Amino acid sequence: MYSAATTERGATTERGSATLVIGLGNPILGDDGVGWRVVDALEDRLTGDDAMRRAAGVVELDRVAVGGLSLMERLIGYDRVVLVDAILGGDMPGTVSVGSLAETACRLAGHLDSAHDVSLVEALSAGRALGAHLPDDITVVTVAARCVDIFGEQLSPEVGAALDTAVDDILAVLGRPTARPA
Amino acid sequence: MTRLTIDPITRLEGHGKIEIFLDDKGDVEHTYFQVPELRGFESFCVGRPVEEMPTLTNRICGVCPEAHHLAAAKAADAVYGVDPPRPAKLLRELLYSAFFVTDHTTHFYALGGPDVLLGPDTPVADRNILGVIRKVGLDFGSRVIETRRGGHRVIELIGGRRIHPCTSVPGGLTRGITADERTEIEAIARSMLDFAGASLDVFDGVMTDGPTRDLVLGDLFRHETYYAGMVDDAGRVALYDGRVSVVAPDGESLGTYAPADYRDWIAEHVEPWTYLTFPYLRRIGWKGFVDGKDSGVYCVGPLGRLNAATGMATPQAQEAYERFFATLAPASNGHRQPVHQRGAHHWARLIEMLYAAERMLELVADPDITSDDVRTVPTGTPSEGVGTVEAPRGTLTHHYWTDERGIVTRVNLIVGTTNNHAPIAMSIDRAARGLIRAGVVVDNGLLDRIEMAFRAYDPCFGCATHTLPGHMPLEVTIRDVRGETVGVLRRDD
Repeated sequence: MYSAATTERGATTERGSATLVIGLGNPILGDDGVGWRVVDALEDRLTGDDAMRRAAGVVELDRVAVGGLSLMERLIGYDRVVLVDAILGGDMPGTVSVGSLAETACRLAGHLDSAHDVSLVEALSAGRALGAHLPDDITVVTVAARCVDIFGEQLSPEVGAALDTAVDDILAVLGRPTARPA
Repeated sequence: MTRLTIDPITRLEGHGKIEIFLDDKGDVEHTYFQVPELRGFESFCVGRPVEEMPTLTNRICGVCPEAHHLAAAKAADAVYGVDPPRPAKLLRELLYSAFFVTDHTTHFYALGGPDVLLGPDTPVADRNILGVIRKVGLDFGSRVIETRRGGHRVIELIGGRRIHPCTSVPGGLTRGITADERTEIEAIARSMLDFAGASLDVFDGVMTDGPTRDLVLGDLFRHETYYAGMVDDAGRVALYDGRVSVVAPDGESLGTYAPADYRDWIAEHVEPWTYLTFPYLRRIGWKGFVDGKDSGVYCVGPLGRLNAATGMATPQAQEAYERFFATLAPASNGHRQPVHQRGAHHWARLIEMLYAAERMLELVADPDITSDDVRTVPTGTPSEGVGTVEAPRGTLTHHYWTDERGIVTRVNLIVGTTNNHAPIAMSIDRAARGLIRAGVVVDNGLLDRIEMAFRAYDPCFGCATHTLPGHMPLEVTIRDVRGETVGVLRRDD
């Protein structure tokens, strides 16, 4: 079932779906909010296309501004998760990359490894040690940001132009069978 | 002069940098702690209706949106000159108390607490929540997550959303709670109270360990400053509402003030080497980064609150409070002395956790808590208002100015960690001076101890710099007398 209840009210949405797509970031901090905007665009795409929605399978969408323990807690109960986040680094703004959590965690724009929290990787280990059902299959889709240090709701033009590419990449991931750990 | 730089290894927002300059003998001459500032929050707010501020400002940062939400709601109440009905105040305080238990739990078990729970000599790779789970066991570890889940549930029931509450509006709340919801919150509060008591037992257990005891009680992290925190009419710690009490390093009261008068009491010192200001007590004046009664530096947060108060408003917390002071700062000169050891923040935090859980039980037992009378609709002409709460990291003040339509024209925020900016900088300096001496090899263990100096404050530069909290790895660059780099140290995590 594709859930239309895709607000950030994570706790109140149904937990029956197997795949969760989460936009990470601060929606009022310029390009930092690109994760939210990608999920908005994904929602629009899925809402308008029955065939695509069927191909994507059972998907729930969410947008959050948390990392570490809180993010780990949000992932409990899912088999597969796609995280969408802004990234700062060497890539040209607007560049979209797809990788596993292990490949990407150290490069993200702070949300997965904040100064005031444990890293998501550490939080996942803690959650698993405590017996929580957490996804083994975590894909991270990143969009290279230009500016994440001035408050505003606008994306930089080249970052805004990357939304469709990021949505295509997420749909490709969703069309894939759930990866199992080796 | 030799220069040590503790610098971010990555390119991210929210990072911190510590520079330590050594003199020609190899001793510490100056220490600078810097965080970058994000821009534009005030201009982002200007032009918006003030009633949007409670949901907008809780977007400043993902760490304590509940504190920003309520400080903003109180400021918006004040802008409209409206006093929310009693049930609304009780509900806001109930949400806030649940948030406190949750936030302090997270700090003690996952963030700064592992330093004392596992001991400062435990390798940094093991000094984290996983190491804590190994130490306290899976059952107790599960209670940490259970306590967080309970806290988030209460916040959702009253605040409408789990992480970023949205129900506080000028004059009160958009809705109340049902009798069933009250019952659910009561059960959560009972479980939290048990957990807080058990956490103090865990703390007592680790305090028998020598290195941990030194970290909490030792002079390496000791500063004699003023302390500030909100108190109720009887002078006891208050988190949601009250007057701000200020106490001198010798325990004498400097007085209390209404939060709206904060500018008469607090001034902000500017240094050329950082964007972030250093608040100080206006009446005492800025004398530099120095201890003592003549220096206007003050400390907020759990230690500041306990020192600035005369007690706790609930019985178990009061008992814990008395033991805290009897152990750390026996009375002299006819009045109680403040606790100056910054490592005692960890202990103070647990006493507050106990208080917040007890306070939740008092609040859910109040007959008004399920009342429908949760909002006084504002009718006055909006103008200007101040809202203050005690955030986990210290006194948080929102100050808004609006035009006669309630459109924001100006914003000023003083957040918890900003209040502590000078004490944190001083603690880093003290730790660096205590640890770095001529001939001492600077290694990662030393860097780690310096980090512990500020981790005890539970610092969050997320909103101090008006941004989401970023990755804050640190790098130490050691420079010789000519300023050239002779070595680089990194914290890898």
